[in-house]
Amino acid sequence: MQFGLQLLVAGLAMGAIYALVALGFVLLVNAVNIINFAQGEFVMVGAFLAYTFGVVLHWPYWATVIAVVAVAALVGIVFERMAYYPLRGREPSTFLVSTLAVSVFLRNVAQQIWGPMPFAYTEPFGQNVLKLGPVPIVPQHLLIIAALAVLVGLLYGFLFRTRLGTMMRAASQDRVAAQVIGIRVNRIGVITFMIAAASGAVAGVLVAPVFFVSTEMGFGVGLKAFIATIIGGWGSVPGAIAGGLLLGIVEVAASAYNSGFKDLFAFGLLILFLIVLPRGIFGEKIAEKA
Amino acid sequence: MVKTATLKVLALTVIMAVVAGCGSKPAATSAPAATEAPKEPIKIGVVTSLTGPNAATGIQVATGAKLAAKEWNDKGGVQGRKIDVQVEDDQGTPTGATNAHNKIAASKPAGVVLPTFAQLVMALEPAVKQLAVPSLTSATGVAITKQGNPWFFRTRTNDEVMGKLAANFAADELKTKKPGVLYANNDYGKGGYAVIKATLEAKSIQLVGAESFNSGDKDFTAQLLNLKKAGSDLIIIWSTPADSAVIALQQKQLSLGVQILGSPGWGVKEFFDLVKGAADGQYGLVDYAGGSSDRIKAWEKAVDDSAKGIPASFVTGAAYDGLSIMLGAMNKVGTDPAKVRDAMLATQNYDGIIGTFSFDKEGNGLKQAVIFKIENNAMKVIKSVKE
Repeated sequence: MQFGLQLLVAGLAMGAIYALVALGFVLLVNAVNIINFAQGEFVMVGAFLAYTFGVVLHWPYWATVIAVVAVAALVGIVFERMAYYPLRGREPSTFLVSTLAVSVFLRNVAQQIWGPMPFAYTEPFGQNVLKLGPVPIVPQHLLIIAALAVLVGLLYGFLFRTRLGTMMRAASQDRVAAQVIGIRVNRIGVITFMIAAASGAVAGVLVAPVFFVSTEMGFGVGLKAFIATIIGGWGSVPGAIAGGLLLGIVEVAASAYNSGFKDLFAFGLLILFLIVLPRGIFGEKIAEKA
Repeated sequence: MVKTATLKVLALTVIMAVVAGCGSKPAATSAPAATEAPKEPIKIGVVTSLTGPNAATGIQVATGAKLAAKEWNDKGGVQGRKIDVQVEDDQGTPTGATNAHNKIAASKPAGVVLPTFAQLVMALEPAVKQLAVPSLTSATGVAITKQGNPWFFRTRTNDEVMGKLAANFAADELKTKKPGVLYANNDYGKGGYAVIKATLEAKSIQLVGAESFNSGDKDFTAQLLNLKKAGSDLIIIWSTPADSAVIALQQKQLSLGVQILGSPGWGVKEFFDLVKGAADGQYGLVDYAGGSSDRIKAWEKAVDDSAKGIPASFVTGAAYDGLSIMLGAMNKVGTDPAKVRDAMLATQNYDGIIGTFSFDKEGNGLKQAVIFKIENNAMKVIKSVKE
């Protein structure tokens, strides 16, 4: 019982991390309809920035988070100018290549700035552990789940309840028509990338105590978040959460059954969904992007 | 919908390509031979990870090799010739390693320092044979020196010896009755696991569980709890430094309460920098545990002076000692590869930084380990062991 409970907690925690990163994918799909292979690298950049502000400069946690969001938003602007703006309106494959290129670029820039040695960032809880009866719980995991809930709420409200969010979705569905009715699609692109980079960087601050800070920390989690996005439903906010949590739990269950099978099950789940339910759990019901 | 589906297919294709690696390039033939002037510098090539997942460890190889070359240059060179070190990045992939080795081969090196990761060295095996110059490695995978390739020289204790020493310590000193093993699912981890299992079974101790993980995994809860549930009184963990730190942190957070004996990945500076005390009370074994002698202190300072922030680890030391031995051999017999090889094989009881080197005929130079206990986030040496 305790064994099962501990596994469930671990699975939910990893799942929440995947979901957190998957939100960035969802945002970009909704707003500019591209897949950003550098989303995991935003996580890495966020973690390194947190190390710089929090550990090197000794800033308090709240100031670190604000500074990370601000710098990451700037990175988002540069990213948009490099990998999206010059290529806008091209084939989707163009962006796969350009974002993949920027992902390699960001990793190498990070190594030039911070060096190849990994860092520890343990804010805000240190190595403390909570005890829920006999089950030890890592407080950072609770923070990640809470942050996921808050970010989901913000993103959902933004995309579906604000004017800017509606304009974003309109621009994604039909760029030309959106321009015709007066939406400044280029400016919307910039804002989207700022938010995507900032949300990825916040995920980086949150996972740094779990993963440690290294140039390679982002790619794997980016890949898993991408799988979560497909499982959950392309461009769906609830889908990102469901997909992330499902993937996290399947991975832990697979490891418990036979630790050699973990990735086999994760990618097997992806293939299963692509065959049986290609729309994903919360996929679009109508072919609105035909 | 059509567009979205296309996008997904494309994305998956890209993932496949990235995950699988994009295929290897055929080996380029080396450049035309340059006529050798007598005082031309001696080229030493270094293939190591400067970027990629193993960069933190890989950069130590370059640091150690460069320091050895610098010391010879400061002394006036080898037979009056300067040492010219060329470092190429393997990016942590077999393809990258092959490309880096090709570049180095083109500049006709007299000797090569290879990566410190077994899977990369194994990928280079044919190229090393073709280049036919003495090639050093601190990778510990047993298979490397079993290829019948006369050019490999290993400057660390190999996994067969290290695994045996770990299992012996577990059985004889820690008195384990129900050991479990957690190992990385790669050449390094699997090799260690096989030796540990065989050594313990020879002592009539059966493993109660064996779990694996993929290098780069961030969650080890299931594996650790499975081993605990199986009733392990000791978990022997065979992992590289990057993964070791995450495992050490998680066993603490899970309040696992099972004694751990860690591989050399648990005895390096970058590990202690990350775990910050989470591994206190656990055991480990390593080729070299730093030193208190003036000579070693001076060397550690020289490493720090030559490359700020790069630790004076057994990886740095293995590259340093190895290249020092090779350059010493060249100083005696010149740069003819076969002569250098014979001179290196004849090396006995060379008093290096990380240990005393005596090469066997397969090119293994070191057969020792230091057992330590982790106290206050530092290694406390318990004893030195030999095979």
